Amino acid sequence: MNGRPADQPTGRRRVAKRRVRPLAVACLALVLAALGLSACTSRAQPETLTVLGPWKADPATGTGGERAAFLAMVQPFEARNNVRVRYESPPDPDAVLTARLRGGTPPDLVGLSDYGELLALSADHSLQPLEGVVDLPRLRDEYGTWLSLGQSGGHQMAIVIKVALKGLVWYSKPAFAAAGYQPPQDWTAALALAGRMSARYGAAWCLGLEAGSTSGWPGTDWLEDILLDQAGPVVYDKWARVRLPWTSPEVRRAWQTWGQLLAAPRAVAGGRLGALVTNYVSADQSLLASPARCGLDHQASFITGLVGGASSDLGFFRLPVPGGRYPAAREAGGDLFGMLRDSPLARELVRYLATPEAQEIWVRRGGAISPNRQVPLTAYSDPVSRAIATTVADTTSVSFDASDLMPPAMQAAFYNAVLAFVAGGTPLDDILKHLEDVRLYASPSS
Amino acid sequence: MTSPGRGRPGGFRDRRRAVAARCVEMPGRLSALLALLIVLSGVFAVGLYTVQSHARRVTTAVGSGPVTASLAAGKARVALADADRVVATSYLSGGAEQLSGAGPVYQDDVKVASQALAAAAAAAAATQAGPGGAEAIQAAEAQLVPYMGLVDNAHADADRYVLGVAQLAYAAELMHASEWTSSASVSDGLLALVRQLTDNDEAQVAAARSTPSAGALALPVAAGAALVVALVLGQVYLFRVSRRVINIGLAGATVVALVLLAFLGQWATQTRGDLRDGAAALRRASAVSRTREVVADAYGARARALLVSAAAAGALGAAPGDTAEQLRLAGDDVQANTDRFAALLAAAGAAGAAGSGGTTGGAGAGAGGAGGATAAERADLERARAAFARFTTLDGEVARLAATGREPEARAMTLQAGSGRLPAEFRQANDSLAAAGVAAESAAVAAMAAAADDDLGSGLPLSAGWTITLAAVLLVLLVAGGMAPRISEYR
Repeated sequence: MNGRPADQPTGRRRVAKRRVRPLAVACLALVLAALGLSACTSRAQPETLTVLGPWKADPATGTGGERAAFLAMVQPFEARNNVRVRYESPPDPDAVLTARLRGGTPPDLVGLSDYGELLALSADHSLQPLEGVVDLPRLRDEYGTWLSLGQSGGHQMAIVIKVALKGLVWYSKPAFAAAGYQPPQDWTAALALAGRMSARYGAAWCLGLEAGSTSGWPGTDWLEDILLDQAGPVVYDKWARVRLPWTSPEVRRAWQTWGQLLAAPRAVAGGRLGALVTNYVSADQSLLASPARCGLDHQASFITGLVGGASSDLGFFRLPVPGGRYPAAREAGGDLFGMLRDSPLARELVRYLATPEAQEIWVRRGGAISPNRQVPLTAYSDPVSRAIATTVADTTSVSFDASDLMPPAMQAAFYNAVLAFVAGGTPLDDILKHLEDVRLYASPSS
Repeated sequence: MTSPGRGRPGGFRDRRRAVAARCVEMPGRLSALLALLIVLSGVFAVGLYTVQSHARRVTTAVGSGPVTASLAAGKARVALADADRVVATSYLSGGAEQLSGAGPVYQDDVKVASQALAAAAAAAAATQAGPGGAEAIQAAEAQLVPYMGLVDNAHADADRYVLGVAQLAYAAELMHASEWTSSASVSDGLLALVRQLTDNDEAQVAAARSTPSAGALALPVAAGAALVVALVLGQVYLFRVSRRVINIGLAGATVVALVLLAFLGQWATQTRGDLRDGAAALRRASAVSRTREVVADAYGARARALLVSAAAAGALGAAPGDTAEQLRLAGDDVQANTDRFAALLAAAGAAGAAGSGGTTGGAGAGAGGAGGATAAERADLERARAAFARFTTLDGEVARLAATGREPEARAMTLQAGSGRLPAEFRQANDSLAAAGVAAESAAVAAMAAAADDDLGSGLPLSAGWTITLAAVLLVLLVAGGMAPRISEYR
């Protein structure tokens, strides 16, 4: 280098270094600290899974309800996998899903409230088959016949995450006991009970048909229940698969039976308009309201999840209908869960929701019956839900909700027909003729 | 301490040796100091450039993304709420037959809402929220389709009055329903979805208010401070070793570094001020559009209540008291709207009073800077408040008339334009709010543009990039010019 003398005083070098080094170190430390401060703002965010579904909050409060139950169900999954599930339940999930699919931005997963949607989404290959996702042999053991509700074209396209027993008439047990009422054994007794109820409460039935763009569906459950009891599962299945004319005697009779019930004086709380504009959840809740304005409510078993903690006050019976010959036949509906965008996390969520661990969470909150037999009866929070779960497990003849099985155009026409029928002013013949026209249009092969 | 004396053995030799050693060491030390100063100058310049270009990117993105999306979403909300009002009043005045008057307004509202949603979607796609915001708007557009379907059904069922009114109720429910995403605590259907988007956009703008952030400023400020400290210490060191009073090069570099630091502080304050002004103006614009939504809701709710009460009276099996119950519920809606109106106006006022400090806000609240509401804006808001107060009073009168069986009079008060009743008060409130909204929107856009235009070298005839480059070159030249002669001297 520069031929530094060997005898150069070392103390002076140290002094010089002492002067320069702290300065350099301090400057570098300042710069490094600034760099660190700038860099520390970025942090890894948890991954997000988007789910679109039909489970909605309580319309009165905008919170709770089935939406809260679903979110509680996925919460352990989120914690375990450091993932955020962004759940949407728009007033019209079908319209939003269609727009998202068209726009090429579908949610990762989708909850479906009817089988018709499953068929449509399977037909256009939007849904991903679940054969390689879930352990089908094990699910067959755990789900039995319920697994078939998620199948289409020979593939497992979705899993059922909760089921509901339909065609039940609900009442307040304390009110029934106080008035000395008994569940009716035949149609005449049912009409008489409705008459006494309307005298006592101002109206017999708590009927709410409002459900956004699917308004009218609660009425379809009435007709399905009556038709199933009167005509039996074989005719019912034919009708559900749009192979039975709407103008057939069996279908006409079911409508007439329901009409007879609605035509009674003060049959429905709020009158016909009241029934049309009342949300079905509000109608269900009014059964246990104080003071009560109605005494009976035709609803599926999920009502136990809609009345808060008062579900143990509920009692139920099967409506005896004129000419009913199949009282053991049961109608049920199920909510499905499918995958639109394949990813390891989406697969993991499907697998998780199929487990008894996940379904037990919703069951414990009330309002759901698990299709998974591994969920113990002790998980049901109230005796009413336990009784329904037992009925579901013991039932040998289950027919799925007919309107849920119908093609979308037929389903929409059915909902509108119910509204027109309840509103009055349109002859039944005209309603049935219109429905038959839609059937022939929607399913020309039939 | 003893100094080596001539007469003492080894003293002179020691001094000579020390001087020789220092001459040998000095070039190395001075070179190291020069390198350190040049590195710090470079880091300072790069830090300045980075923080300025990042801030410019953020302000430009916020201006073209969340601000544009929020303003478009606000337009969509107002148009949607007005469409729902027009549908109800049209039906009340006779249903499908009267569409010649109200129909085009409804069609226009839907068209405006669709276009505004499309504009919001395009802007949302460019925001940091990215496809999520665009998807949400896509969902809102999708909800509009069934809404319009239900309105069509209602008009098709106009001859079956009860069914038609029910279809209108379903449409209104779709517009105002209480459902949406898991992240929303309370929301209300189509309008709420759009409102949620506005909230998200406003949150993004609010988050950008502290741009440039303290973290981003840390590097250039630390590098600049370190450079100044190093220059001062270097000056002291040179004074000790060479006994020269001042090194002109290092002194010049110190002045340049201090000027740059001052510019940095001034620019950061100005940019933040403009962004704060923009955010305040955006909040005012948003509050005004929400208020317009509330006014339209109040009118629509009254018309729907009259429709439902008439239908209930005519429907078979209606229980006594149903009509009164419907009117009572609608009255609750109107009262709730009145409360919301007052709260929103207060919010608009608060946003108007909010800070300034930016380029556009310097004019202040009184004279009409973006930082505060203009006098004209405040006058418009006051006119709207007075009109809505009269509207609420009249609305109570309508409810009383309907409840006492004088429905034709209630209808006339609700529908007749130009008679100084509900429609006139609605129009007065709506027009005043529209004027205030336009002013607030313009202020938001102007403030955001000013934030994007703010320069580190504002006041200098050069753009920021050139200012920083020239300053960096000047720093290096001054440092090198100051140090190089000293290094050669010791060589």
